Amino acid sequence: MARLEAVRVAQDAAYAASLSDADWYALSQDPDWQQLVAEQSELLTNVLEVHGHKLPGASLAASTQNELPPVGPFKIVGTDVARLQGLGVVTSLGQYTENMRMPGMLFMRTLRSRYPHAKIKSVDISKAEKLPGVRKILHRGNLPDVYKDVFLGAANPTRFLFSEEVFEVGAPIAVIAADSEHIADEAMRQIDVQYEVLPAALDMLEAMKPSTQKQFPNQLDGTIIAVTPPLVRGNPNDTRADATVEAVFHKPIEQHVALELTNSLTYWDNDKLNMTYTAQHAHGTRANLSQALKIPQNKVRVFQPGYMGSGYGYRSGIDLAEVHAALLAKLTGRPIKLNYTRYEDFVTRTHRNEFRDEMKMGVNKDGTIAFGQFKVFANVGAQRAGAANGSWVNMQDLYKIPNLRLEAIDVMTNSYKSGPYRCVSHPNGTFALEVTMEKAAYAIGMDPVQFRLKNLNETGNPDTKKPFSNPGMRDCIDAAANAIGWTAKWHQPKAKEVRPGIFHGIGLAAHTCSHGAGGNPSTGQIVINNDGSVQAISASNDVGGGQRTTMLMIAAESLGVPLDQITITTYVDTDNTTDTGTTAGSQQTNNGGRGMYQAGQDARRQVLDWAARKFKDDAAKKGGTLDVTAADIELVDGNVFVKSSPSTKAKLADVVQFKGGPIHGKSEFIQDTIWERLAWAAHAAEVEVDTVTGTVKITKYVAVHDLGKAINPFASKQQIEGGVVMAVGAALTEELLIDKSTGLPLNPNLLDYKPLSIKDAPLAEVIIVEKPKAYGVFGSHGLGEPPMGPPAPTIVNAVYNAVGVWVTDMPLTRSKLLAALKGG
Amino acid sequence: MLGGAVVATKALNPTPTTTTTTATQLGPTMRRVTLDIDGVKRDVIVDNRESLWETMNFQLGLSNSNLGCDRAQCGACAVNVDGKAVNGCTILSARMGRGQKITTVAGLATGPGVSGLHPVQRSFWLNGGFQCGICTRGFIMSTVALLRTIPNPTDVQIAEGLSGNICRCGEYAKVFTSVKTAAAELRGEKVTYLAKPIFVDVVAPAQPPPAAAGTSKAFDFATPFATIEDFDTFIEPLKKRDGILDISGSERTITVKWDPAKLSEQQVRDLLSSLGRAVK
Repeated sequence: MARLEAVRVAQDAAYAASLSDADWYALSQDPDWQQLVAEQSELLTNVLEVHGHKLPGASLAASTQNELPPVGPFKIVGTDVARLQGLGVVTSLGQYTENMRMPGMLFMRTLRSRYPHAKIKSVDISKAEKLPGVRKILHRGNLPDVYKDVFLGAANPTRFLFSEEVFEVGAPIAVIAADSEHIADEAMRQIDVQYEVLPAALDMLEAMKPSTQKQFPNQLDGTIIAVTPPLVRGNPNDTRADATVEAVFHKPIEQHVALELTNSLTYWDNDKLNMTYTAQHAHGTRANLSQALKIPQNKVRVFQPGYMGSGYGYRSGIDLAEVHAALLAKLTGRPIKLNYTRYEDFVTRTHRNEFRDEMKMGVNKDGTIAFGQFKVFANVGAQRAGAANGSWVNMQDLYKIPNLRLEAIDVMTNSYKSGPYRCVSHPNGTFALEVTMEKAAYAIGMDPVQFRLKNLNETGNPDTKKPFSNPGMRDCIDAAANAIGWTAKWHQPKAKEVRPGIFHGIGLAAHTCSHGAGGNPSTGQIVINNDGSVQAISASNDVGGGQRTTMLMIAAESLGVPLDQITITTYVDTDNTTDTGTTAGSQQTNNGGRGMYQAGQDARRQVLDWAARKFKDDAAKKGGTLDVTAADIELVDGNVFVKSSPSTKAKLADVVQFKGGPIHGKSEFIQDTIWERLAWAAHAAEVEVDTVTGTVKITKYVAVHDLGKAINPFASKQQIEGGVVMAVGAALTEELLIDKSTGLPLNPNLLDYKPLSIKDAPLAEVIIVEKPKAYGVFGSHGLGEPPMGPPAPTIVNAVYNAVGVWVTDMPLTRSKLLAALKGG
Repeated sequence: MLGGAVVATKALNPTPTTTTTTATQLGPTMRRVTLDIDGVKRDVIVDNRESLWETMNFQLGLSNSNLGCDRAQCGACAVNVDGKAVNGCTILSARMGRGQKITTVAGLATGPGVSGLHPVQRSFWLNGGFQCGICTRGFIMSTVALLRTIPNPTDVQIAEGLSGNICRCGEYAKVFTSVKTAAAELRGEKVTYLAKPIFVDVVAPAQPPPAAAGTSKAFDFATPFATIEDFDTFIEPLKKRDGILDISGSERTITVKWDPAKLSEQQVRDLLSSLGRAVK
């Protein structure tokens, strides 16, 4: 059976219809599908409407109403806890993947295509393989036959291990294993490659034209990959409005720039592959490798050390290089160290793609929204992927828009590949919608904050009818407006010159998205040892957000032990954990966290039961009777006691010893599907815009997020203030560029692609709102991604308020702002 | 193979994995060098293209610094060489054999556990100066170097001093907090932290070094030194003077900590003048 292609299932109705029931079961376990569910659920809406009932657990989920979360007060949840692996981070004790080495290891380097579209006619390695210290060179010519049909992602265009036709600069042509990286570099220069250069599609709008040459079998024009069936509500084309605003928005390519370069250490132990990898999802990586190498999952072990230089979305799974490393390790019989260069990490891994949004909104003088016509284009790069309709969420759910038309088009080009990057397509949707909303407010002369509040949808998804659970959108907007001093400070555009040529402005943006909802699988275990010490076992990968610490806090609170009585490993090893989903989609609080909570509850039930038996046995030994059941017992801070007679007590160790073996709790949990689970946030900013230099200076920034319940407020605040810095970088300074004539990347380095330094970064005031959700662990809704949504429109809106121009082409550089001020 | 005659005692084409060789057996791209890392001298053979980070991480397995870009653009690999913060990825190990003192996070703690950490390490951890931590070893060493010369830095001075360290997680807000708390503790003040660690000490916490009671003041030289090496030479005799507890500084400034029971500020000024460098 050919490997299922998750993206094709989402985009190709005929392909989806051709799947058997067995295929749907297999698809639900596919790591690519699971990642789409976690990070790009909007891509699946249409196909799930038709085929969702075929997924395993679907009927069970529909009939499940999960228990409401406990209300508190809590002993551990809600306290500020530093990273449990902190000692390792600040000393040399913590081993990041890049710090690891093994005796006899070889270093790997990849020779890559320098053309964006070409056929590889021949590869001559004869000189290179004679270099002293070169141990093995692999390319299409000597790849073992069994791997020649292996590809990653979805087909057409297809990314084989070594493709005959390459579709991007950076596609792998040969891989070298050598004694040092320097020798491997030298070997790369001595490999002779003959290319047949083919025409490349490098511009998204050009690529959509019928005249553009097709690169794969396709019913659509040019290199268009997919057109999502439009979402239509009411009568969007024929509704009248007092005022209509229109704008075209553009966002450039952004990259994650995770500071730990993608790297891995791979070896075979007998016939079992072992890979330590900068993974956001050790189990997903295991499944990817298992598929690619055609071996069962129990013959693959992935180790994620827990000391990990993040990923922000691009390292849930593998790229071709990781499969190459596994093959080199197999063929050389040596461990393979693979360190990407910063150039490779920038170019060959994935990106937040380029977007174009055509927005038209009709609004009435009374402040109601009459209609919205929103069209999103996404440049998904050199692959089959989808990104455009991920921008629909807030357009669909945030405001009451009775007449709505949403369109989405995904276009392939021979350039940077798209993939999930912290909040994926939602920041684009928020950017386009929130600036359009601001424009509409000014068009009817209404305060933009009042305009938003007036049109808020606080009920649920208008199209699927699923309700929101205790939504905090109004609270977030109110808190942001309050904290920035909106009522006192808002003024008409270009009304406040604070110094000659420098104008004050104030802006706000609201955000909703589907990240943080949590999903399946939600697994985990608790083991109580005979000395009363407790172990939490979870596959929740820590990528820097403190996920392991959060898991520990949830487990401790759920079971009823203090934090110094329970431990969790820093690392995740697929050999001794069960999958609990990727650390992406802001979902671990409600995925892995749910696993911890349920396992804690299960272990707790067993403890109470055994305690009752022990107390009865104790009484009997003394010649008396005690009629107690588990319901009469309480477990607090690691001690059990009879509620009505607390002097009848015991330590956890006593209970386990009485049982005669460890107590083992685990999670069996299916998430219900009742709710439209959304994150809520609002940011506001004051800026000073210099009309001579075009500089935008943020003088005050406020970020408000409804988290349901902050498990570790210390870590939550970090996510928000860090996300603001990242997204302000995207708004003001970051863009990945390409030379349109050669297709070569122009700035894949940290000087010319500019993440913010400590000198540039705005320091946000963070406010956490807690409106507990029915579906959340302790009422929580996950974080991580939502802070990425509001910053761009907040700044654009503030700049308009300052100087009266709309800059809708990101990043908001000085030259663009000055051009707009000149009337461009 | 490169061809040519083979000289009897010298190999023309080196195998880099050679472990025991005499000097005459090293090939043209290999060097023997002694690296002084955190007070320990290590004798290594390195490729002349090898960076200090590569040698420490791969050959020596020290995990005392992390790589982010390999091009001195991000500062993740920062270590200290003779007290100054430098990028280990762009220093060649072969050039480090002249007695330069390399210090890293591995040499900062004075004891086990939370209390044994250097104030900068403890502050970055408990004040949340990191999220994923890949940049933190570099931030810590840059901060140590900064506080050596400016014990009471302003926000602007902190930003300037750490402008070569990128934190992609964007945790700059708490980097400021971490640096300021550490600076306060180094000046002898009591400090508190934003969060609690989960840590079960197996050894009784180390006695913190007695806070050197003393008076500390930063002076500006009337005439700055031309180079930091000149400054280093200047302070050598000063360190040995009775009553002088600690000295740090740069070409332009000097921060002296002295025992007020033995010296007054005027006496410190006179001392500096008598050694040839008056201060303003």
